[in-house]
Parts: sequence; structure tokens; C-alpha cells
Amino acid sequence: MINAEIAGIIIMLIGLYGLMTKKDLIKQVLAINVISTGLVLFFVGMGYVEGGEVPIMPQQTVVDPLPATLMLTTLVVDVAITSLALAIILRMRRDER
Amino acid sequence: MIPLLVACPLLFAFLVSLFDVLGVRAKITRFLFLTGAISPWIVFFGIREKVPLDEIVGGYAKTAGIQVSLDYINVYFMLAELILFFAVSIYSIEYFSKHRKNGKIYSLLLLMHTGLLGAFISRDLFNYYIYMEIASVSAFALIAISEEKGAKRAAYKYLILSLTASYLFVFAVGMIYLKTGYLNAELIRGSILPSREIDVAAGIAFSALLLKAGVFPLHSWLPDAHSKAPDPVSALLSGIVVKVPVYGMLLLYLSLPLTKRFLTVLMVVAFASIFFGIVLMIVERNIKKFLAYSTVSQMGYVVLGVSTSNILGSVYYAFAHALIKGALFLSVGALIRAQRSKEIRNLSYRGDAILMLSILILSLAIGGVSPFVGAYGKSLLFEGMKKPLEYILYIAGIGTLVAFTRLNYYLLKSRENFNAYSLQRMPPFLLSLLVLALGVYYGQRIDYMDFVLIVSAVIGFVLLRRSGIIEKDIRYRFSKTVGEEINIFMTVFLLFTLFLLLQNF
Amino acid sequence: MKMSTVVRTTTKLISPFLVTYAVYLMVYGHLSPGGGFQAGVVLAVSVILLITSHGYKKVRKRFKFKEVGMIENISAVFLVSLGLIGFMFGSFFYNFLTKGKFGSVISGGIIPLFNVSIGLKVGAAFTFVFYILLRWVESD
Repeated sequence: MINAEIAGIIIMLIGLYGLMTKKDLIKQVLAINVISTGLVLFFVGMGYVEGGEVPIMPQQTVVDPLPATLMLTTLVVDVAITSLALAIILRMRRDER
Repeated sequence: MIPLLVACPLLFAFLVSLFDVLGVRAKITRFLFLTGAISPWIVFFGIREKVPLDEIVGGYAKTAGIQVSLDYINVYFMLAELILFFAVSIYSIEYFSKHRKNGKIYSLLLLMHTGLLGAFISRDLFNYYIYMEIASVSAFALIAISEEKGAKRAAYKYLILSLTASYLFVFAVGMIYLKTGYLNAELIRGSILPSREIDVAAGIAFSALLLKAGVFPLHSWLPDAHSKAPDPVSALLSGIVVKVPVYGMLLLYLSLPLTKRFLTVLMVVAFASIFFGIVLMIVERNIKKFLAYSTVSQMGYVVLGVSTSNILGSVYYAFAHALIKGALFLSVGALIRAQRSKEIRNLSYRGDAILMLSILILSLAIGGVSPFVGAYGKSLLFEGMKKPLEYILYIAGIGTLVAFTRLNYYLLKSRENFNAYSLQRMPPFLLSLLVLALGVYYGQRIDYMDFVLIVSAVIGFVLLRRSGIIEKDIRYRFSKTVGEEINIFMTVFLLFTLFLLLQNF
Repeated sequence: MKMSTVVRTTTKLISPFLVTYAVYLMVYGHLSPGGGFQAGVVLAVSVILLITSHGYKKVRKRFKFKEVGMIENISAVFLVSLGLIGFMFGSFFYNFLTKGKFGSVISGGIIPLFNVSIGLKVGAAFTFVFYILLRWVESD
């Protein structure tokens, strides 16, 4: 049966395929975002415990919160780099004209 | 106390940015920038006596918090970063003073300082990744700020390749976390068992870090990015930013059980990188690209240290290379600024004794000639190495010297009168004196073997010149769009990753 | 660019509530799902919604470029100095405020302050990114 980790890896591979085949720059940035989405799914699936609760109050079984927090940081990096890449693409188009 | 090393430049980065938005006079921004660049030095002098040092940020338990430390491995990376950044900050005050957005540039430089320092002190794989990303993001922006044609393109290529590599690195870190439950390098070491997943994680993480270090089959972004950036930024990129992945490799080497076969493959990659860099240096005409290819070649030596389990040699060589290459980029930058050309043949250093002396010292030092610090790193690398490998490394040393003989030959040949700014002449000169002083401090004496090396390098250069290879105009150029280039590089990267993965099966 | 009256009225109605929601996420970040980054994104979305419906030029008159940059940098400086103050009590980012009753808002020590500054920083930074990208698009 397919679980979240394997789904995440498949999504990452789709993003890598996009980077290998697409020539359009915006599509390449989108492919990078697809990779990061796959990565987030991989990590969140990694921390999931069957029947676990939100780890805020003391409870019996909780999901592992660490992978989710790590992914929050990766998302921040992703956002920053996406906006930087878009800005560079805009400037590049203007220079080439 | 260790987190203060990182917190001070970060605080000043935001202060510079704040004062820039408020529109205060440029003098104040410049003062804040210099304070931010120097502040880690003060902290460093405060804790210098107590090395090796260990700390958990926020005072939590070791299994829960982020460990930072300063020991005999990373203290040399730290020192190289602090020295080089100090020189670059003085240099860049002159360099960027006419620039319209210089407040933003100073802020980005300080952020890069933060990222580099944070990566070098961290003992936690994820924390290391975050700081490496801070340094790289500011590097992308600083490359894109250059006015030169093609700089944006180089920045975009670097961005996409480096970002893909870091996602693969985080993926590998996730696999390690899945198997061991820790992110801390020491705790991973304590609880790891050899397994297939760990082998896969090691392969992916190493190929990602090799891309970020610019080692041969994955070097394709490096010459463009390092040659199109503004000169002080090139010095930082080539000097110390490519050393951050090397520190990551050392962390992984210390925490994961790597197989013998994997290390052998890494050694082959390192040798390929050394010789590839030398060949391209001999035919390259753009002086900054020449130095960038030299970085590809020298990173081969550093990775060689990792692959032969010679951590100390790798660390000292990285330290020496950071100082030498940073100073070379700074002095060449002063020449380029004064003579407005980047072709090796059109440049000359005859008009300026200080620049001439420093470039001569640095070219000898990078070839591993004796009284300089490069020779110490090289002698440590040679320790415990098998005989045939040592002879190959001697040949590589001669190759490097041939390439730098070519550089000095062209720089000596023509004579031009020019005026370099004194703030741009002094930092590289002081760095080259430091290279000499550190070499003497580590007990290097003049070695007669080196004269043989230099003479054979000069003979090699004369022979090559007679055969006409050097004079020939070898221009190898893709006439492709950026998107197609990225497709090709990405395919090479993934094939290399697969190759590394297959070594463990 | 300017959208129809229906869209403009709706976004005007929604935006203040989004700001309230962002404040809730910031202040209660340590007690319920949420936190600084999410709050900052919600805060930025309230401005970005106004930009898409009313046009960039009109929104920039209200939320000025310089003010957004100031908010961003001041909150960042506050964030780092919060960590530096912790040094006086032991170590970097040490939680030095007295802790209240379990489950109340003040029980987090410095964490709510931390979340507020992160929220402001992220919200201002996102708005800034949109301003800069739109400025280039419009000048083309």
C-alpha cells in the first residue's frame, strides 16, 4: 500500500523530471516548488503516528512535531528563494530585450 | 557565548537595513557595516582561550536543543572566514561607495557573514542546512546585483542548481532522522547502524554537497557565478562559500558509517576535479574565470582530504585556500577596476609594485611552494598517502604552477600605467603577507624540492607556448538558452547522484 | 488594474477580519495551532487582497513603501535583541520572563513576543516582495 513518504518521493521525482525537460524559466521555478511540496509531504508523513493527536497538551499518543517544524523552516526558505528567482527572471528578461 | 558570534552580525545586518530605509547619511551605514563585520572578532577573542567549546542554544537538553561548538576542526574554518571577511569588508567600502543601493548590499554582505559563521559552528545537520541556505540566498542576490552582462543569468543558474541540491540534502537528512531519530551529529554517531537507507542517504547528501562545492562533474555553475559577481563578492564566494559544503561533508563523515568503496569513488572524483580545473585554467582567457577554474581544481584537493580520511589535511588545506584565493580575487579585482578589462592579455601589474608582489606571492602559495601556508596544508594532505597517489599530486602541483606561470607571464609582459585605489591595494597585500607569516609560523622552511617544481613548471610553460596551445583561441561556447542549460546540468547532476547511489550496492 | 465593485467591496470587508485573525494567531501561537510565520502570511494576504482588487498604486498610497520597510526591520532588530537579552539570564534565547498559569496567554514567557515580531516581520516582508515584483511588472 502507498503511504505518505512514498507519495512524497514520487512528487519529488515529478519535480526533478520537470527540471530536466522544461525549458521555460517560470515552469522551472514551479518545478522547484513541486520538489519542495514533495519534501514537505515526505517529512510530515515521517512524523505521523497512527491515531496520534496534536502535540500541545500532554496526551497519550502524539504525532512527532519535529518534522513539521523543520518543514515550516524549509517552506520559509522556499518562499524566499521563489520570490528571488522570479525577480531575477524579470530582470533577466529586461536585460535581454 | 558561541551563538553571539552569529547574533552580532545578524543584528547589525538588520540595523544597516533599517538605517538605510530611514535614509540616514551613508557614513553611518558604513560605520554600522564595519562594526558588524568586526563584532564576531571581539567575541572570538573573548572565547579563544576556551576552545574546544560546546553549548546547547537556549540551555535545553542535548537531545532537544541545537548544539553549537567550536573545536579544532571548525576553528580553522571560522578563522579563515573572519580574516577574509574583514579584508573584503574594507575592500568593498571603496568598491560599492558609488553604488546606488549600497545600504542593501552591506546588509546582504552581513547576512552572508551570519550564514557562514552559523554554518561553521553548527553541529546539527538541519541547523547547518538553514545557515548554508542563508549564505547562499545572499550570494544569489549579490551576484544578481552586478551590472555586468550575463550576471543575472549566472545567478539564476546558481540558484536553481543549488536549491535543488539543498532539497536533496534535506531529503537525505530526513532519511537519517527516520533511521536514528536524531539530527545532532554526535547523537547520530552514537545510535546509527549500517543499513541500506543510510547508504542511500549518504549518497544523496554527498552528491548534493559536491554540487554546492563545485567539484568537477557538477561544477558547471561555478565559473559563471564566480566570474560575473562583483569582485569582493567573488572573493567571498570562491574563498569561503564553497567551503561550507566541505564542512557539511566533514559532519557527515564523522557521523555516518561510509563504506570503503564509496570513499574510493570520492577520491576518483577529487582527482578528476583537480586535473579538469588545471586543463581549463591553461586555456582560459578571462582572468576571473581562470581563478574560478582554479577553485574547481583546488576543491578537488579538499575533497581528496575527506576521501582519504585525512580530516586535518582537508581542514588546513581549506584554510590555506580560502586565504589565498580570496586575496587573489581581491588583487585581480583591483587590476580589473583600474584597467577596465578582464582579458588576461590586456592586463598588467608592472605599474604597481604592491599588487605585483602580492600576486607573485599568492601564485607561489597556491602551487604549494614552501615558505607559504599552502605548503603546510599540502604536506598534511600528503601524510599517510600511498606513493603512486603522491606522484600524481606532484604532477598536479606542477600543472597548477604552469597555469599560474602563464598568468604572471602575461601580467609581466605589457606595461601600463594605472592608479589602483589604496583601499583596494592594501587588503590583498596584507592577506598575502599573512599567508607568508602563517607559513613561517607553521614551521615551513625553503625546500630545494620546490625549486625543481618551479623550474619544471617554467619549462612546461615554455614547451606549451612553443607548441602553440596557449596562444590558440579555444572558445567553447553553448549557444543555448538558460532553460536548456539547466536541463542539461540537471540531467548530469541526477546521473551523478545515481552513480554515487549505485556504488553502495 | 482594478476589479469590479462586488470584488472591491468584499475585499474591503474581509481584510480587517484577516488582520484580526492574524493577531489571534500571533498571540495564541503557543497555545493552539498557529504561530509567527502563519500569522505573518495571513497578515500579508490581507494587503495582497487589497492590491489585487484595488490596484497596486492605490494601495501603495495607504501602506507606504518606507513604512513597510521600517516595520520589517524594526521587528527583526527586536527579534535579535530579544535573543541577546537572554544572555543576561544565561544563554541565547533563554526564556527569561516569569511563567504564568498553565494554559493562559502569559504562560509562554518570551514566546508570544517572539511570535508577534516574527509575524510582523513576515507580513511586512511578503508585502514588500509583492510591491517589488509588481513595480517591475508595471514599469515594463
